[in-house]
Amino acid sequence: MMEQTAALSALGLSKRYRRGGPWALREVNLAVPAGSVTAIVGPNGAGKSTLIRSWMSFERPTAGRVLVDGIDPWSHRSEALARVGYVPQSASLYRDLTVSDHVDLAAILRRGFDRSLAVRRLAALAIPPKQRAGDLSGGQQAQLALALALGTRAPVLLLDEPLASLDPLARRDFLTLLAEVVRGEGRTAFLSSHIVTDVEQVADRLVILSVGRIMLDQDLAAARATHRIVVAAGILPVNTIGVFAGPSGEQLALLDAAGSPLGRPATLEEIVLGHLAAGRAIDAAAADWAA
Amino acid sequence: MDWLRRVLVSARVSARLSIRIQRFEVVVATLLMLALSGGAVLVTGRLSSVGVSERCLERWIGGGGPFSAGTCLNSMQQWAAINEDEAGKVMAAMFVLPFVAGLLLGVPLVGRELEARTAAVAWALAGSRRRWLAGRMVPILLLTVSIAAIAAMASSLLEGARSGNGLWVSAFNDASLFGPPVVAHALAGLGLGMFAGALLGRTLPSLVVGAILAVLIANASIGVRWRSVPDSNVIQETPSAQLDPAYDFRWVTADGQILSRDEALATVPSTTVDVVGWLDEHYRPLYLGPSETTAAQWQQSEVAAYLLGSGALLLVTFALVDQRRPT
Repeated sequence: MMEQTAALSALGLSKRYRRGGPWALREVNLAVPAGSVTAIVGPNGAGKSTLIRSWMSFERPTAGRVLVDGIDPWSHRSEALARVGYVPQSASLYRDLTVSDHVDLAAILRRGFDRSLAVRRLAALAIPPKQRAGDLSGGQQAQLALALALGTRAPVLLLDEPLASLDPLARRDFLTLLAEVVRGEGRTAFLSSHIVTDVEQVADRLVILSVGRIMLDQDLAAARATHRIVVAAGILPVNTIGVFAGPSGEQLALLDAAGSPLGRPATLEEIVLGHLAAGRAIDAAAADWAA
Repeated sequence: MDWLRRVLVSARVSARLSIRIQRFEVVVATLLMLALSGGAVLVTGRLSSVGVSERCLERWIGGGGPFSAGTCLNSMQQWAAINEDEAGKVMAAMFVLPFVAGLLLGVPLVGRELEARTAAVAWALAGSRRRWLAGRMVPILLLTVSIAAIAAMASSLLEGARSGNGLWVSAFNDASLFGPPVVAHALAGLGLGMFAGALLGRTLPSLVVGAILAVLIANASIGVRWRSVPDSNVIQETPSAQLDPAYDFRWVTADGQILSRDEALATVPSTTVDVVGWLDEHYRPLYLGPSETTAAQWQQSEVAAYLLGSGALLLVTFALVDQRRPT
């Protein structure tokens, strides 16, 4: 069922880079609904890029599998990639090629590439077509990478921390364009980030990943409705998810409290911090058992 | 016909971009090979301008060098100096630089794409990595063949001039330094560069590894070449003289007896001034060593081996690229 309706799915996906090494992903089960903007957040090394690269057929799963629109990218790479537009971590462009060269290259490499769409996007952003990619600002490079991904007309966009090196204004511009296109054209976007405010701006679904495990996979609205915050003093409530330090140094506990009046509603950042703290605790406990 | 036009336009754009992506290496490799070709043509001109006759060469070789050169002495010394020094250097470069040019052009095709992380973007756009690599490789392959072919033609010119029509240097000695093997070496460099780049995913280490592999292969090829010819003790008449330490020549008397050089010289009357002339008058020279046919056969074998090896490397590289994770 999930294979038919989800734009992206992971089924028991586990990945480690060398035999006996640490798990980058552990039994990840995830279904990204078509037409959603899903943000995945997690600290560095959580496995966000590994998950995205698995859908791109850049990483072979150690166990389990991934599907793009119901297609396994390892066995049917061309068909799967034809459904995906990809914006990598730190826009990896050809420094010596101009902006219009990049559009030409994409048009050669990708059948059905919508050159005019990409050109219109770039013109709207006043990115000069004759400028070398190496001379563009970080924001412009990210916008160029996004324009190329959008030009593919792929129904699914995979964005692997495209905002990491951008200033706040460039991030805002990027996300505004992304939201406009994805919602306007009914595409699916899967965006990895570790900046929660960015996620809040654009996503309608949140996935939290910590040390290779999915800690949360929920609609943003549902996540806000089902999490509350209390100051952690004394015995923690049984429905505590995780404990983390608040802005004033106080210990805050994130509670799974659908319908519970305890504490106050959690902000998105607190939801993320609480689940990441929980992930860290699970990892520490696992390390203790291993020792 | 519309599809043909589209394919041609696509090929032209693909070639332009592929060359532009590695513009620096393209410029350096092209300049290297053009400079090498120019050097070969220049030295050819300098050798020809000395105007050494075949007779002078025969006197020099047959009579034991400067002692019997007579009126040819000055021109022969000038010719020999250019031949040994300038032509020798150009021919040595003719062995090394095609490998270097091939490596320079081959490594960025995959190695730098992985290092600069552009491979991920290109592979995501292309879907088929093989199609991407073919599109990247073909223009560079054609460029490699073109610039190496120019060098190959220039080296053939120089070889013709420096060998003195086979009297001075055996074509077999230089068999790997002129003509089609020059192109084969450049292709081998390209294949090694692509393979090392796909394997290591880094530019500089790939260049180093590729260069080491090229040296090993080139040395092995030289060793095989010398082992492939008949033993020097086997008398093998060749159409022209050979001058090589491993080979020799004899004189054949009217009754068919074969004399060594010393034996032949011992028969020359002590009052004879023109020793070579006397020997030419009384005996027929018999040159020993690999013939030009042997050289041509070796060149064919060498080119075939390098092409097969390069083709195999390309297949392995395509397979590697297909399975590899981009960095």
